[in-house]
Amino acid sequence: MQMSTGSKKRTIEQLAATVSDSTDFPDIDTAPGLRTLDTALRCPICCELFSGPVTLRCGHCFCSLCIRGSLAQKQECPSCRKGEENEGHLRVNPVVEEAVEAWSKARPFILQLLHRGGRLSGSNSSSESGPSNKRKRSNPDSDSDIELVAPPSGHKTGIGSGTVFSKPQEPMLAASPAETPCPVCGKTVKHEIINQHLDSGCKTFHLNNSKTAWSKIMGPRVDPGKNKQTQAKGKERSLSVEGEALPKVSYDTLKDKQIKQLLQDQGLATLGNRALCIARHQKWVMLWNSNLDKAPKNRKSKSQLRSDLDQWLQEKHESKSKVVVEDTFGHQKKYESEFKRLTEEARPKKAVSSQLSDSREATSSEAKYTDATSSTSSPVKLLSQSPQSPHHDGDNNEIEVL
Amino acid sequence: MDARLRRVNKEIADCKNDKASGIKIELIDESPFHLKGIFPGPEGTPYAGGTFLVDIIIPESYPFQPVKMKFITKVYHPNVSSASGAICLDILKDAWSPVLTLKSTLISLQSLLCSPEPNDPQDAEVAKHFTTSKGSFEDTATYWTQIYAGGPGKKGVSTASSGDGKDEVAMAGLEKAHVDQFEALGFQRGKVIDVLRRLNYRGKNVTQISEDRVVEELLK
Repeated sequence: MQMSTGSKKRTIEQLAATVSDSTDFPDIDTAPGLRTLDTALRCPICCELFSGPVTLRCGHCFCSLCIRGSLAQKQECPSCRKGEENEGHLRVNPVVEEAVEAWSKARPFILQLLHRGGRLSGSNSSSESGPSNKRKRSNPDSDSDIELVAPPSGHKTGIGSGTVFSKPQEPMLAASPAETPCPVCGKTVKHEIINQHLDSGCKTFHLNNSKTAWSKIMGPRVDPGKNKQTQAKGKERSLSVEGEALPKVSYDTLKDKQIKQLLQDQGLATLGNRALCIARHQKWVMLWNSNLDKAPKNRKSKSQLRSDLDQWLQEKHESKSKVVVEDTFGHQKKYESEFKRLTEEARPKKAVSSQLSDSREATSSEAKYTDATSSTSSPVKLLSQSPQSPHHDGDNNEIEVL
Repeated sequence: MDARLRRVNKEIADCKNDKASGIKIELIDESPFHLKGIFPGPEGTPYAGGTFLVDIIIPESYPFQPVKMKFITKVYHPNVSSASGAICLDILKDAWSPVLTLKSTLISLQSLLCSPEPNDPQDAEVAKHFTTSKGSFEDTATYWTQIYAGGPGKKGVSTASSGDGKDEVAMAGLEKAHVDQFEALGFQRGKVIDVLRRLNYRGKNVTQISEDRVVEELLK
């Protein structure tokens, strides 16, 4: 399993230095509570500050996206293993979200104060401050606590800064007279449902949408009618404005065409085989629904979600692609001793029983075979497949040799 | 940088900052998803004083799928394969939870060494040895720790000078007298050790297994 995520050589220290975690703060004796506070506001699954925090019935809190990923594997709380949890049990936790928001603003400031009070040393800005629009991130510090942190204004990304409000919003319908901005969440809501919208705690209230919801649950109906393109577009717009959760789909009951239609409805690419389409749609539903668990002002736009999806697919693709050995001779030479050893180990009995010349021939032909296979799988894998010593369990072949 | 890589980096940093646990993580090659875990053998067990290396592979869907771990260091333990180092531990299989980390998993391995579970064995022969004669099992485990994990050894004397034969007998957890007895009948020493180990010719079992049965096995 050799993954080429980075071409340059990395060390443990370099890897460890690219993260911001609770140990940015001094220990409990120097600054009581700070480290614990930072840990408490982090999702136990991704170890980042909560992004769209949701609570399960047992009370444990996770990022919406993380817990959805976890529940897809096993329907239990990852922390206490209380069972029978599903996505329907998730409850948005706006208090934690607010706390995280405040903390992500306060964090760099407190760190700065701490360092000003302590020793000063050269700043060591980390390499992580790429286009990380995936999650709101606090100041990406190295884990060393003797480092000078740049002023918060220069560094802040994501929700902490004032840029949120100027964030390009989803193409909203121009506020027609029938619509009015909600005084609480700022979203445009139809005038006739503004009261219900406010009563439901700014969860968008829909009138007469049960029909569309049912049709979605029962599977998409591919309308043989005209003008599919505009139909899809209209749906997309209404989805992004209304912020309606997408239902889970049982893909096994759908035909390829219907799955592609589902993707098209969401304005996603329909390339690739069935498995890829399903994976794409599943991930999209997860991204979309977890985005809705955030406070409206922290939500990502549809295009951002789309680029998240693309990134995810790309990473998935990269890690899937096998390592291709270009210089086969060099590769053979490099692992020659390893191959020889493995071949020897793979057939300890024959080497004993047969004539020496025979075994030599066998070994050389085996070596060729191993070389051929090794170009696709790494030598480490081979190592794990072959018995490493004559001590393996229940092996009575050696007795038969007598 | 994807979520998996960020999390792995955090876990590596976590182990690096925690000096108290004695757990270390190192890179094997350039990939951050293929690592080597190092932890000390727990005190008060046959593994005390040894240093145990674990091969760690982070799967693509980590942390939603468990990490793949196996011992690099040879360990004599009912739940660890004495040949391949494969580990039988529930949290590495169906009891995995995404809140578990590399550090907590390595600590679990450490405690697995403290409390073997012979009813759910990975290595059946070792498990038999453990259940029939625990004292002899512990001697063997201590010996393996000394040879492979750099442990202090029971007698504190290096046995390297005493030749390969003694090593093999002690490694298999057998008694020298028994091996000598059958070797005197004209069988190869290696074969004798292998058969006796397979028959679990140890402790109380010695009286239950007749010599004829052993010879029969040797002649097969």
